[in-house]
Amino acid sequence: MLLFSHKNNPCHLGDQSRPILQRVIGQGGFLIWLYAVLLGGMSLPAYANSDRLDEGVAMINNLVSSIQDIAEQQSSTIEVHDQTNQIIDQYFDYESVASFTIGPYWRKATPEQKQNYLKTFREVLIVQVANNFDYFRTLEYRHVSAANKGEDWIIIDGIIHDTTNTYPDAQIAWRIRNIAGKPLTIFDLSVENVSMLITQKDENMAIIRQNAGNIDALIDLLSERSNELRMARNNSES
Amino acid sequence: MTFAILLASLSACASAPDELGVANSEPYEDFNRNMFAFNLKVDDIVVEPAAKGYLKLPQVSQDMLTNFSEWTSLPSTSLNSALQGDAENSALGVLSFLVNGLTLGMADLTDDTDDPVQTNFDDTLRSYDVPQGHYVVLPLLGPGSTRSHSAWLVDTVTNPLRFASTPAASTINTLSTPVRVVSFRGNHFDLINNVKYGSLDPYSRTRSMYLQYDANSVDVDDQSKDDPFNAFIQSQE
Repeated sequence: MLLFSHKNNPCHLGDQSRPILQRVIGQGGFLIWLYAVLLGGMSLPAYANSDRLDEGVAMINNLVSSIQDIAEQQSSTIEVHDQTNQIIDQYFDYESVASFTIGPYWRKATPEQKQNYLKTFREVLIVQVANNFDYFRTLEYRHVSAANKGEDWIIIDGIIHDTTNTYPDAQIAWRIRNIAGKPLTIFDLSVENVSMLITQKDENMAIIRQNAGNIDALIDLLSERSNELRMARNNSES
Repeated sequence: MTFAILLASLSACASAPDELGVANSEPYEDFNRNMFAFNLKVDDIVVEPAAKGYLKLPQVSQDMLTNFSEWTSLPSTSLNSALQGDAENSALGVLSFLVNGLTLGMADLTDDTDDPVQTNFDDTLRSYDVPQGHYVVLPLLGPGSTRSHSAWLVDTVTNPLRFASTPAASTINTLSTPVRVVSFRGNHFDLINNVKYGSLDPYSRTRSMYLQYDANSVDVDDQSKDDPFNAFIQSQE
């Protein structure tokens, strides 16, 4: 309550009707759009055809399967890190995602700072994801709908269900970059309408601002965090 | 709606959102960070330990406390639903309050489909297009906007439970806030601890989540809203 107050906060999941309503409206909106396009005899642009949506849905399903496979295996920490690394390279446009997370500071960074940031941010991402694979084991993903958002994005809505019933169902949305003629890549994940990437960007930019625009301060903090997370993982294993 | 007009004028100087939809300009950041640090200390000393105790209770007891806290907010939900012109939700609020009042709100005796959608004066102001205003963190109340904090004050003052003169109503009114705080903290224990202990900057992470949730809670599919990610794509081209 002290961190998040009132009913309109990110933690307030009690009002379940609103996300459901949004999903219904979202699906209805897409169907009406599709109906209008078909009736009007308009030709669909290459990036907006249903094949592309199907491709996006299949990609997310494959990603979820990959994560579940890793979670179910009793792999060593090094193996889990390698597999997480492969997932990042296979499904994400990592450099674009990482550059987004420091906003306009990316353009101001030197080539060396960019390389350091890409390396350190990836390390933190991998250790954070790898440390949470135990949690993924009890989660189920349920596909809800897929729709284009403008010319450049596909949004795939789904539900995360905790099979232990410890947590309520959470509405999630994958944002996929859709560039004609190029493979789809995942750009962002929203949970209950809160974008993980925008949250990360706001936090990173606040740290850089608080350090008078010094990107190295953020890189140092990320490096410390990566070491802490690795130590926490090692301690839990020993 | 005089109060709403006053709030609208207070909020008129709200900063414009940046290219990502989250306002960068934050005139009260130093104050907010100090209040956030104070709230974290209160959380360390009082709320988190109480929430740990709450989580050790049997599930049925946790449900009873959560139901009680939701039940005490029903009069406010009814009142605000009426102000928003939602007579059905207002009536459902009254019905749930009366029926569940048989167990002091600790058991949910109504069908799930008849549960009213919780709402408050902040939602009412939003429905009258009162701007959100600046992001402000207040001691004990936590993060919010000038509009939501003002609305909380109105909800507290106008809560019909305050006007009931019986000792039972007075006790319920006194207990409602601490029970709500502890059950909320307990029900979101991992999420809040993740932000509190796992962030590089818990303050900015909380602020970002609050502002995004607030902005998206009305109509996430509003096509007229600028997509914050498009600015990024344009900057790459």
